[in-house]
Amino acid sequence: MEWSFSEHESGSRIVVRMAGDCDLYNAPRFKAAVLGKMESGVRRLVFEMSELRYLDSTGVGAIIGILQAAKRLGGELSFVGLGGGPRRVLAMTSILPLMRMGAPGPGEAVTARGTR
Amino acid sequence: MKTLIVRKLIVDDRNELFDAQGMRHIEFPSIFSKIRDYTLAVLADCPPAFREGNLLEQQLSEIIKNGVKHGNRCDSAKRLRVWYDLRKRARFIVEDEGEGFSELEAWNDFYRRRQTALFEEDFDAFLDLASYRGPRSDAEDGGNSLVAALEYWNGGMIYDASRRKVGVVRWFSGGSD
Repeated sequence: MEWSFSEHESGSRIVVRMAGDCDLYNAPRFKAAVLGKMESGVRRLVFEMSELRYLDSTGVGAIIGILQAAKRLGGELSFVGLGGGPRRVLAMTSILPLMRMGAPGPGEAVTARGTR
Repeated sequence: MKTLIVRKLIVDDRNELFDAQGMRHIEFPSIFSKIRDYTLAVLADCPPAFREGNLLEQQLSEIIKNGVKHGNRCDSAKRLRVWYDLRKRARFIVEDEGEGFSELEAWNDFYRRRQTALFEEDFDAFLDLASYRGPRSDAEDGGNSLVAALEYWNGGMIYDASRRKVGVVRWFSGGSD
């Protein structure tokens, strides 16, 4: 039940790497951190999800909250590397059509030191 | 021509999903930090084919969370009871000691509006409706666990008359003995 997220700049974008289990214990803090970034002016975010193993309804709720903030603030989000169980959960909740899937750009799939 | 079909949560006290004969039984105190541990304990002997990666674990964990958090309000003196049968399909009955899911009709109304917006491809409206917010929801509630549950539990998801007990079934292609 490991979880980490980290961020780094890639050109004009911030890449947020999600790894492990984004669940009822971790997702609220993750959501707050990303919303804090967006509220402080960050508008272009890429979510790198290839190491995301587990996503529950709280994690889906975090993604919904981030999508709602992007709509409110005029942000531009893209998601890369989504697969497995997390993709199925997002499909079952019909959230996938709201998520812009993108190919990973240079530096977007790098491993960065996590923030627990 | 596309047709909108909206599932809904159902109350049926006499449904066969509440027949616990032959099912295994386990109980837990309602401790929020233990929800995923409880889920893993129930699934300890689960056939690998039923796990579908970690999808079964995730969906069962949502039901246990609903009982611990929304039913028993994380009161550790209140018990969460789980009956389970992992022969041929994944079947569970989960009962808490709370007041019952009084928002069931409101949730069904929310879900209809949500799915209508999706059907009409009104994505702005859909995004606003993506998460359920009831009078007792808090900022940490995802508000979508029942949306996925209606999709996942393909053999049914039924509440009893008290609305403290829910029965669910998922069938798998190929089955298992």
